[in-house]
Amino acid sequence: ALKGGSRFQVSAALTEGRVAPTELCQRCLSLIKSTKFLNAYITVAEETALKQAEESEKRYRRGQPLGVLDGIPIAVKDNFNTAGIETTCASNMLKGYISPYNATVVQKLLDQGAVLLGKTNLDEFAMGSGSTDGVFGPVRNPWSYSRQYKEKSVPKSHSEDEESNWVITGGSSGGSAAAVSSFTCFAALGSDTGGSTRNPAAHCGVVGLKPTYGLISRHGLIPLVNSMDVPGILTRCVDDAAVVLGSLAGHDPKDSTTIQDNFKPFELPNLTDVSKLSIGIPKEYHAPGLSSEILALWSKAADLFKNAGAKVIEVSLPHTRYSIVCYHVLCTAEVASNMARFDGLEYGHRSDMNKSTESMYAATRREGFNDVVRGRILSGNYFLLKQNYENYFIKAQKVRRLIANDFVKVFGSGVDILLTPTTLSDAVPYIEFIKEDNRTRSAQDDILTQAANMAGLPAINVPTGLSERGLPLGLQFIGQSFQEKQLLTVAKWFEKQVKFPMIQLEVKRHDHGAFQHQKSASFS
Amino acid sequence: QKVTVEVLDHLEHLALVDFRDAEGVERLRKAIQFADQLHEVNTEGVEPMDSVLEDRCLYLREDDVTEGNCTKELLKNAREKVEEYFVAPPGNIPLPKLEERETFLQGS
Repeated sequence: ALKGGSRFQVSAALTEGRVAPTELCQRCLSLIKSTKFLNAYITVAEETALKQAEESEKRYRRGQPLGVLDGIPIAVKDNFNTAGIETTCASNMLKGYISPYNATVVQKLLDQGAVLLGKTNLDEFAMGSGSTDGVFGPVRNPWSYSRQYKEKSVPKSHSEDEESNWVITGGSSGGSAAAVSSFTCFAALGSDTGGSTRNPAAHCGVVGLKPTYGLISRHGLIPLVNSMDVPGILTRCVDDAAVVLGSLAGHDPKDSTTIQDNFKPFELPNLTDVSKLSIGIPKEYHAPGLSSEILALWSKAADLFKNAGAKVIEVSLPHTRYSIVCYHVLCTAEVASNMARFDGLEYGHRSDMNKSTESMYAATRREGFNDVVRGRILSGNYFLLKQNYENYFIKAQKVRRLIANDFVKVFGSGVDILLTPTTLSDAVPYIEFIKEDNRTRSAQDDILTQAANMAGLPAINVPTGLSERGLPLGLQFIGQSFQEKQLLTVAKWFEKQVKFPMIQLEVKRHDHGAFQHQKSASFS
Repeated sequence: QKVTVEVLDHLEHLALVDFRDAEGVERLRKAIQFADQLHEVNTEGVEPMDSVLEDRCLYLREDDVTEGNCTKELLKNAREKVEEYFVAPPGNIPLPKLEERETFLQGS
């Protein structure tokens, strides 16, 4: 079940008693240990996870599981508050901070009996597109250690260490994506402000769902950009994402930006007839720098829909090229405001400087934040200065409306779903990635994903194929507000057509021998 | 050049975060340059958008106490405290002026 099994299959195994929750938990914990070099986890909550698994086992024995998620091991990005467990946001500012409460989404998963294995690694405060800029170091893409990648990589010299060839996960939810991709958990929570769930999902070959803004509670998610942040869902297949969505969506009185409409969890139909579907291909997403491989894949996908009888048309979202600039201004402005809470007084790092409140705050923030965070705070404050407010902040808000309206026009013209690439290329090696600074990288990498955040629309990455280097390539579907069922139904149909290959991970396991042995013991 | 030492100093005061080095200042300059592209867009007659949910009303709950009594929990994460108080250094003391504080901007 650890190999490629969807959570449904594991749930069936749990219900039928073929595997016990504690055994499943133990296997995942052991796999986390053998894949420690990926650096996907910041905190592994071994004791509490095993306790949760034991409770789940008791429920299964009584024949009273809480639901489909009961006993399922999950991981949570380290910018969600988890009661009693350290929450660091991969920053010195929150090292040692033990949350006094659970984020609503975490509480919901626990209430369904899910087993929380640990907190995953990210870029500091979710700022970045590589999961390379956190204080606990970068996350390594599990595909770096796949047979598919190794077969295609040509050693540059005899002395070149395989070690230096590893590729990034993308970000900022890289730890969560790596955790799901390497089978250490069945689902993981990420966050998505500019693409932070979809980007690493594409690079790690997993499904990454960004729900409509307002559908899932942000209470307990340490905020970056209040008007764009959403919790993201990472799983190995679209059906699993639908199940997790079903357990998380809905109004939360603790987050007044969640809509009050009644949300009904849904099961995805097995779509066979796509002839009534209209797929839009936004021409502006043929962005500069888009790799020819991805362009070809995108074209092939469009043909797939066409040949199946769907209507596939080119559409235009004319303000696309400004969305990254708009995002840059709005993001830094909201970040400047949200990061103001870190002053050392009530929680988190506190400097020894005690001459005055202001100097203590300044020293605390000097010591606690990395360059990226400080840079965004300063830029944000610049754009919010009285003399700049109208020309930058308000201007960006106006451009935001134009971007959102582009989507309204296109969907209003009869298009159901948009099909676009998720990233410009496959995952790059770490040593190459760090040659450019964080802001440049983010600007390049967020180009295809962040307009959906600007407009609040749901979007999903579906792993589609492998690149020439043997690494995952994903494509993105963008849907209409609160039409997750339609979005996921189409995504599931597409997933079935492309049959993305399973990762052939080559890892030595600690107490169960070689990973290959585990394959024969699986039961999916 | 709109990014003068006065502006940088002002920002350090507002943000209570420092530029640290020349790279930090350059980072800001590049950020502004990048943001200036916004001015190419014609936004005549366009209203600023605060939220994608602007057509809906924010949820307001009843003004009833539903939770609390967690003083001990909340104080756990604070480093300096006395009884039920968070302890701060003396307030109303402005950050030292540019010449007097430890900042990269000094001598710019």
